Order: sequence, then structure tokens, then C-alpha cells
Amino acid sequence: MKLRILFIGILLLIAALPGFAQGWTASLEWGYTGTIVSSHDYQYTTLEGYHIDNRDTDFRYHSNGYAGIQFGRDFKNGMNLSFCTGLYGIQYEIRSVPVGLRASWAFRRQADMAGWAGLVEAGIGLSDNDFRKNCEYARIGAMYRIPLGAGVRLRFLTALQGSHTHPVPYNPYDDVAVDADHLEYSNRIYAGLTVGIGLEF
Amino acid sequence: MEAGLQSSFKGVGATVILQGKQGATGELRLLADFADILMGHTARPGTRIQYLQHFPVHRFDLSNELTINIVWGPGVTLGLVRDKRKQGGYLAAVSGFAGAEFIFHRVPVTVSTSFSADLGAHMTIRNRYDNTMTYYEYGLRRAWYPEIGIRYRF
Repeated sequence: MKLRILFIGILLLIAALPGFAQGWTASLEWGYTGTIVSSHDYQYTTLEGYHIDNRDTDFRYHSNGYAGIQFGRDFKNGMNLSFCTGLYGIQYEIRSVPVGLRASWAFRRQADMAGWAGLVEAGIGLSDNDFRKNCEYARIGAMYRIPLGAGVRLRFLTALQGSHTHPVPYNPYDDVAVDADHLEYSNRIYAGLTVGIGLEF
Repeated sequence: MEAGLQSSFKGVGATVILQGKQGATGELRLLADFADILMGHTARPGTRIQYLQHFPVHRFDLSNELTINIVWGPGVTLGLVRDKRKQGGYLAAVSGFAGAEFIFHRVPVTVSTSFSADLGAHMTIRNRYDNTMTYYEYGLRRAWYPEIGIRYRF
């Protein structure tokens, strides 16, 4: 119940904030992320003491969704700096709550005309599962923004997304997941393409 | 006619507003159902088709850029979806929705926000002789999920 009240409260804040604070922006954004390639590098010791070093790259496509909110401020020259959070899907059973910053800059300065904008976003992804550690992520892309009127803009976004995660490796020799005592390190990078749609207030 | 994208944590898909005779308005939604996908229990979405009748409650002409319509209406939903703690199965439900339509005049775009609920039956089919029909739990449990529609007016 608390989560529901928080969620609806955030939506009301998004709608209300730009009306009260000139120059501040709030956005809702959601979309699809296709994870295309992943590369892992992990080292651990088996229960019998053998040292395992495993590195590989695989092209395994996986569909994910994402939903996010951004609170930001407009600066001169069409720049906007926003705080981002939400829920981003990375890979099967891997989700994260991003805490990041997004910088965007409009290529066309007139705010009341449709136009392209570039964006760079980076931050950490808090894991919603204690089993896994947090990750880092970054996006670079572009969005096309259409002013609808009454201070609302519609946004279409496309971006490349990279995530650096630390999954728990599976040890096939002992048929177990590697525990913290046997794991030296685990890194996995996912890369994919994101398309999204959003509303700016 | 209006057509566009309907999105929520329940699912994503296409929506079409159909203008009937004598001013009646109906909405047809074809959605990929996200039951259990966000929690990672499955990667395969369900499918649902929904028809909702629109009854206007009030109209606010806020400015020459924006009009807000408050609407509600009953409807029906059919689908092949998952239910809480169950496998995929057939869904038949009566539905209802209430929401607001933000009609922008500078560009022919309508943004709608709404809540909807389904009251119905879910039939899980395991094999030819083992079918289970139960109350569709997600129909009311997910009623508080806000829905956003973005439609282009043709």
C-alpha cells in the first residue's frame, strides 16, 4: 500500500512541479530495450579448490521493458540536466532501479518547435534483489521532441544502452551457484538498443 | 478516428477510437499482457483484446491549446493471459474504466490517462481433461496501475 501511495504521489509531483517552478521539468518515459550482446569475465574456485577463469561473449537477444521518470532543470542553449530513476530491465531476471543523471541538448533552440535533441545518461542501477550487487549503466542517443501545447512535449527516444553487472556465476563442476567465499570477481557487460516514448511537462 | 499506443505496467499495445453513429464512441485495445513479466517470472507476454465504450462525464475547455474530457465506460475483455500464481489461460471478463483525455489543439494528438478493472474468469488448460476455471485475480489487483494512451487524430 505504501508503494502505491508513493507511486501515485510521484505521478502527481511530476504533473505539478513544472507548473509551480519555472525552468524545472518533469518527464515520464517508457519503452523497450533489446539486449543484443553480453560479455562476461569471472574467476572463482570450485569446492575442490580448482581455479576457474571464464571469459566469453555471446549474442543472445533478450527483450526488456523500462519505465522511468526524470526531474530536471533547463539551462541556456537548450541544455537540460535531469535526475533519472525508475525500473530498467537488463536481461532475463535482471532488473535495476537506476539512479542517474541525464544531460540533453536540443539541436533546435526554439522550444515551441519540434526538433531533435541528443542525450547522455549514466548512473548506478540499484539491484532489487539482495542476491545480486548493484550495477552501472550508461545510455547515449537522441530524441525527437514535439510540443503538444500547454507546456507538454511528446518525446520519441532511441539510444544505445550498456550495463556493467556483477552476476553470481554458476559452477557446473559442482552444480552450484558460486558463493561469496569462492568467488574472486564477476563482471558482465550487456549492450543493447533502447527505443522509448515519453511525455515532458 | 484516433489510433495510437496504449501503455501501462499491465501491458502495451495498440488502441483505436471508433466513432459510431449518433456520436457514440468506443475504444478497441489490442495489448501484449505483462502479467508476471515485470517480476521476471516469465518472459512471454500474453495477449488481450478489449473493447470499452466511452461515456463523457464533463468537458473542460482550458485554453485554445488544451481541452480535457473526463470519461468512463464499461467494456469486455478477451485474452490469453497469465493470472496470479497460475499458468497462461483463457480470459473472459467484463471491464470498466475511468479517465481523462487531454486533447491538444496545436497538433492532432490526444493523451489519455485512465484506470481500468476486469471482473471475470480465467481458465487454465493443462491438457484435454484437466481444465481449471477460476476468478481472474489480476483483474482487480492491477486496477490501480495507471494507463497512458497517446493517440493521433486522423
